[in-house]
Amino acid sequence: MLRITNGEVYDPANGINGEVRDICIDEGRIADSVDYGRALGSGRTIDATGMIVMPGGVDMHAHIAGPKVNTARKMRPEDHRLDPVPRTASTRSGVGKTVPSTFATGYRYAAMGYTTAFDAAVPPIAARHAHEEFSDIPVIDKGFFVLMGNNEYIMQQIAAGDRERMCNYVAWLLRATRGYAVKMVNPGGVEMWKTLSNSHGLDEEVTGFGVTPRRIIQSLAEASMDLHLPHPVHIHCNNLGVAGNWQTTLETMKSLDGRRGHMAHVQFHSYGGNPGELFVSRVAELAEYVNTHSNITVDIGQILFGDTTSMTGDGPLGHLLHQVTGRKWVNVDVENEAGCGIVPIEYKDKSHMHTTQWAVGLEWYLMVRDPWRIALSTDHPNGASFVSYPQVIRLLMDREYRREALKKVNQKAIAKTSLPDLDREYSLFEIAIITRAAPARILGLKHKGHLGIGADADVTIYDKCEDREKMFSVPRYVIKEGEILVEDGSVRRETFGKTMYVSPGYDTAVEKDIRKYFKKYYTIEFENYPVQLEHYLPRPQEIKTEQETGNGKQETGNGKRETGNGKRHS
Amino acid sequence: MDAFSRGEVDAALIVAADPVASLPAKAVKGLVSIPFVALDTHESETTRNAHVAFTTATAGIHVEGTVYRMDNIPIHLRKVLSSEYPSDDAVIGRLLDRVKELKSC
Repeated sequence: MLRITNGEVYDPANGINGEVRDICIDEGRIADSVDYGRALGSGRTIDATGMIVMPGGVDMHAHIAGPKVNTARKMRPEDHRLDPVPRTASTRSGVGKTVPSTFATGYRYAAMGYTTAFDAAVPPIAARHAHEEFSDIPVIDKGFFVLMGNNEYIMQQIAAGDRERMCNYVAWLLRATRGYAVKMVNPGGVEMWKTLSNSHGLDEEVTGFGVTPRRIIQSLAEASMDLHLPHPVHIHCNNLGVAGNWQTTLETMKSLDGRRGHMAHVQFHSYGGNPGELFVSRVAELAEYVNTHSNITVDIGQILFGDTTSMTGDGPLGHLLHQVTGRKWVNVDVENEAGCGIVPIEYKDKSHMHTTQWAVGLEWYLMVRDPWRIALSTDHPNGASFVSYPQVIRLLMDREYRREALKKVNQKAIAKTSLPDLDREYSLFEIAIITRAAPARILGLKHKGHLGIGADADVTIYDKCEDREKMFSVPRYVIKEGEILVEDGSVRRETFGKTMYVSPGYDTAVEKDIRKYFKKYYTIEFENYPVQLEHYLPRPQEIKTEQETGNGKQETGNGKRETGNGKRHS
Repeated sequence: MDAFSRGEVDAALIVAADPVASLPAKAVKGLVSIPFVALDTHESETTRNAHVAFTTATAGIHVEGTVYRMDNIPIHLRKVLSSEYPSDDAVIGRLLDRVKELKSC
């Protein structure tokens, strides 16, 4: 039992904006202070007088585990040499500046007051690898999104117009991988890259499949809704990092046509200009669309100046970056399913292009009116490492600091953006929204991102400090599942969090066809493909689909859909 | 290897490798001059020179686990045969327990 007294509490999901109140914790969850009073006598009290209390941070889009992260580790020994993490009495050693080792990843999130993080792109066939790394990431709760936007079986079903079969396959694949949500990366384009091409627009046909990116986007958005997944389809648009791509991004949002969708790292997708020329910001138009369409949520993918590692499921983008930077490059073709590209990159404040990207990210934060539809992200490590979130927070909260920063960047580029005219400053309440409450809500996690009774007792307590970067970098206490694990920014005790996954119901008749497909095209047997819960998820936590919790619109009583033949997994 | 050659290593735990047969002579000299423990499924130059050698069960045959193919695809391997020998994991786990026990007293 634990009681946090007299803290200034920011809990936006429960409408609490800086009120001084007590938070009580019992058995890993937030408890009612009345019940707590009755059972008083045991447990510890933290006197949080003059401190700021928030739910633990939730990162909804980062690259922290699995094959591409590990390949980047192998590719960048210089990244490790720059940043050794020595062992302590309570923690293990590790390495890594932009691609930290597994243990260091967990410690660093925790030390920064983040208690939940999702990996944004795992190829289904390598799901086992991501789970094995998750088992070695301490403290935080985690989950991952499953790459489906270039899945050949899915494209075949879309082309054949067999929506039911595609939906059953998506459910089967989420269960087989123990994944959390449907992810698309450059839909259709990564498949095209396998024949040395790419997709440039929503209506360009994917060679050999008879589908277009538009149909892939719409079909997977629909499947995510039909399956009542807690998180809607998570979209990395076509044409990332290409001048003029804002139109593709706008078209993608429009193509959702009211269906829910999350637009990932929008900063990288908001450029005007002609391909091959300098970028100009087109955030105003895109933010306006987001402001007027409540089916859309975004995370930003802010870049910060310095050296980092670009890693993406977008194979052709990796090649583009390699051509632009001339630096070392890894490309991977994942059989039948996906691709990957990795390139080190340095963002320079003197660069016209990088200054524009930096300003575009900040414009997004400052121009979207409803903070509930934004999540803070750097698309770790693509824009910058997650450890730099406190710097992003200061840029948003401190207008003067932002003005000083504006002086140091490329002046020609910055003059063409609207950033110098934006005076908005985020409040602590709004920061609590975009770093915890909103990402938790967008992910559909009812037990995260808030301090209401019954929520997971993940709490971060900060010493109040005018320098918000300093304040958010070194929390006074971080509490995970009711245990104090971090004090003064260092991890005092190591625990391991849960892995969250979904198990949507599906008609098992589809397995016959999937089995046939595996025989024909896969180098792995159908039976060997699914990740065994008992072997790979030491602390599994199934997040029920909205249908299972009774919130679904098409509730049929027992979670079954009428499908004629076959058994159901539900 | 360099550390062995320079005589900087105090003790070693060698798992499923045969450095005595494969490292350069100078490194081997460094290794065999210090106390070391070896784990392997079969006898080797290294196990013969070890202060303590454990014969262990073969992963992927006697013990279940994950293998990463040459193209990095992870496959779960089931146990197909029984073995009287312990797994690497069991031996290392017990060594660690013993070290913790000795350090705490």
